Amino acid sequence: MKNRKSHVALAATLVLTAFALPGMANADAYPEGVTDKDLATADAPPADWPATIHDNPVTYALMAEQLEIRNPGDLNTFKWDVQGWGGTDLDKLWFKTEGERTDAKYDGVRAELLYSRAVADYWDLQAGVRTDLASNTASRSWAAFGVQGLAPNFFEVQATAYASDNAHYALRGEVSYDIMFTQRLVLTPRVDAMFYSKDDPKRELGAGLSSAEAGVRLRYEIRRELAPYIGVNWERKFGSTASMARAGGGDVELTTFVVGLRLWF
Amino acid sequence: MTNNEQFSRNGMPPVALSRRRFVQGVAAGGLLAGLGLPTRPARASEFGTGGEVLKGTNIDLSIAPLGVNFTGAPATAIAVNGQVPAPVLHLREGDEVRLRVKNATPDLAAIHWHGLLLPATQDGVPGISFAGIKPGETHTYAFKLRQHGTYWYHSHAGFHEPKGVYGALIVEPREGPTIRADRDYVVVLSDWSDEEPAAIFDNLKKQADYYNFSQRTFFDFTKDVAEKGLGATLDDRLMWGAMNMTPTDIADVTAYTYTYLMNGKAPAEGWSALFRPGERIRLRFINASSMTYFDVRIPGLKMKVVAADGNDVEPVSVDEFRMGVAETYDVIVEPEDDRPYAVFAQSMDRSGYAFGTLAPRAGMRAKVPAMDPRPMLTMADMGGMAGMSGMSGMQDMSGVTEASPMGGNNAGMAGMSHAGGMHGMDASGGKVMPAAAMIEVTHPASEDGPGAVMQPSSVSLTYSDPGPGLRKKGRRVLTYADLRGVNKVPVTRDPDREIELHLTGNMERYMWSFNGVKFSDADPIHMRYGERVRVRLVNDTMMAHPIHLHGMWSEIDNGQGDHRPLKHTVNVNPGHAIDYFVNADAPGGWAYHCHLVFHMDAGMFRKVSVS
Repeated sequence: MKNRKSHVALAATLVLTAFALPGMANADAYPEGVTDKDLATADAPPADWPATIHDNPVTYALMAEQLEIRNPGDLNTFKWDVQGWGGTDLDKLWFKTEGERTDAKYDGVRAELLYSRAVADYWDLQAGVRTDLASNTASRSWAAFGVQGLAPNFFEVQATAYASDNAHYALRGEVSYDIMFTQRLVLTPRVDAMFYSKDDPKRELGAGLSSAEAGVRLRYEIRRELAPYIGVNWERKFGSTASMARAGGGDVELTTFVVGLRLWF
Repeated sequence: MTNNEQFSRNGMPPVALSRRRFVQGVAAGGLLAGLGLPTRPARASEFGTGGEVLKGTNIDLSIAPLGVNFTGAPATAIAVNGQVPAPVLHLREGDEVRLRVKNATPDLAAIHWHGLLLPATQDGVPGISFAGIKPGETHTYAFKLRQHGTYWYHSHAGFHEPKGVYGALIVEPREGPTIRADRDYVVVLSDWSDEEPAAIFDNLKKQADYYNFSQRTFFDFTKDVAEKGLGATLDDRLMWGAMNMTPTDIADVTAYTYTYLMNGKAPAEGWSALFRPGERIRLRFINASSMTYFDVRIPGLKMKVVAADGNDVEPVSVDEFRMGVAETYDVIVEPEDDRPYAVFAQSMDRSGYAFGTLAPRAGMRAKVPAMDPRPMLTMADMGGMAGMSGMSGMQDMSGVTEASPMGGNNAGMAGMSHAGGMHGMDASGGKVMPAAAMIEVTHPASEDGPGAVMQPSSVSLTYSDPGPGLRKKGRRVLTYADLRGVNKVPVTRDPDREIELHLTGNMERYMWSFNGVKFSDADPIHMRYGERVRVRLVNDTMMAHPIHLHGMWSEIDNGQGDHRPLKHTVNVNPGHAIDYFVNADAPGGWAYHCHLVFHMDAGMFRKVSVS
């Protein structure tokens, strides 16, 4: 409505209105009962009037994709993969943590705090920090930058690049997919992999593809938010990471049965 | 029984009958508990709702919390004068009315008189027409009734409306009835959840398919492979998958949480009204739901539609009609047989229904009809897809071009390919609708963000498509093309200008808007007082939206010449556009929004300023 053309159109409208609207002498003659107050509602509502709707609500969510026991016979490894976020449709603060605990020792613990911005229909850009903590190794902190979202055909994707001191770089990718057998029984295959740019012997990590996991989990959604599951998980270390593990007497490849709970609120 | 069936379709465990048997609108029918069919006070039976009817020019309403039990579990509603639905207001055209509304709740309250032409300050939208009614305060609305017909009133503040603040508003013609009937009943349809509306909204924001328990499964896939072959099935899945959309996305909120009510009665109890065979019965249907489209039938009876959104239309005899949220339809039925007839209102997604009985004698209950198959969206409901927005750098666009499976003329539609787009194909693969007018559309740049997923290159501008799930043979279904006003429209000149608005959304993120911009980020739409505007709404989403303009009629350009129907709420089907005229004859600020409450609250809303 700001260009000249529309002003001309408006003027024409006024003229037309004067002739065409029955029972209306000119455009300023409002119908019976219209008050200044009615007109005030058009352009400048009083400052003390409340918001009409609250269309940019802040929402919080905590999503535990994996809370599981691996090799339930031994009852010795607990694995978690939890994300939480708070924010509006477009801007969120995002928290992710993953790790496992075996015989009171923590391993592969990763925690990330990210700002997440919706940049496309199904994609968020994320940037922030990551910290690795483990019982038996030195910790390391990283700057993190990545994407999270839904690739075509409903593949859930996370891909994050990391940078740390002394030119340590890393990449992590994760893809999962839901196959619904019924409205509540859902099979989820998932793969993830970690790459490092150079050896980090203190943390028993080698350059290149260091580790990968693949699993399938079958969950039953008692409610959307609450779903126990069972599954099989395969994990393997590669390259010099595998060599370091072998030298240290650790496992290079491990297949486990898992029992767990997926929950969110 | 009825509710077992209703829920078993959802994969829900059947609800114990002993519990359901006591299901009742305590608010509306509490006094009648256990008495079987009601013996109502004469005054209350005027419109057959079982609730209060308020008449005259001075009316007092009080909004307050109320304990109810619609589902077998106690819950708290927000009621007007202690009942859900609110009392029927029976007013008279030409009268100056004063309605005093007391807010006895702890939150801001407001009543909006849906469909009434009145001064902007009396329209009852907090922040646009007034300051709202603060807790403990009483606000007086005063206006003259300039029209007659079937309307309704409801809260426009917070989530009071989905919690029960809605009721019928009947305006008697000053010069005597325009429609002859022996009995006159109000039928208010609504959806009740024991969950707090804010919690439902929160669930949808976190998981948009939270309430959809009718999604396609692995076994649907294998069944389709067996029937159509692997190639066709994969093509179909990939077409939808390329956009991360599903054809089962009919309703955001379903009977998983909703109990559908007819005049405040859950199906297990059912609403009922009496007739004598041979009588003409007027039924004033009002869809007062927060999120539910209903498809209404009375098996065994033709329904003669005589009014839409309060305005008399030339009678159209139909078997079924769809009600967008907030629409009203008046029908005449003439039952001849001495037997009960079911008044059956299925939710559009077929997850449940509201139910009542027209009975020749008290105590009779009609058999509940079987629900129709669930509709599935087709590519037709998507319009011609040119591409999706905001994918640059994020996603391979090569699969989403005009020549892709989305284009419509692809073998992926399992042999149903047609020149000129896929418009009108039913999921069942049956019927081709009348030649559709496909129009090319362009999209505002503001749609490029994450808030608008679809940007169809063409949509269907037709009024004769009954919409998903109703495009089947055998029943005469009302469409907008059938609506012809009894009266000539008040203004017949050509429009002065055109406003095009796109209905936009991102189901996955549960974002809803116009033109990709939500209310809080948008400037008001300005209309010059006295101008006549042609509004074109283009639906860029996979869902139907009921769009309500306050204060002025939406005069649907459905080919009925100077007898175009005047509506207050206009349904826009997916893959469609719709044109209507608006005479900007009401100065002031007006709300303009999708009447699905969670779409409205997500920002599918504009203010219209007329000055």
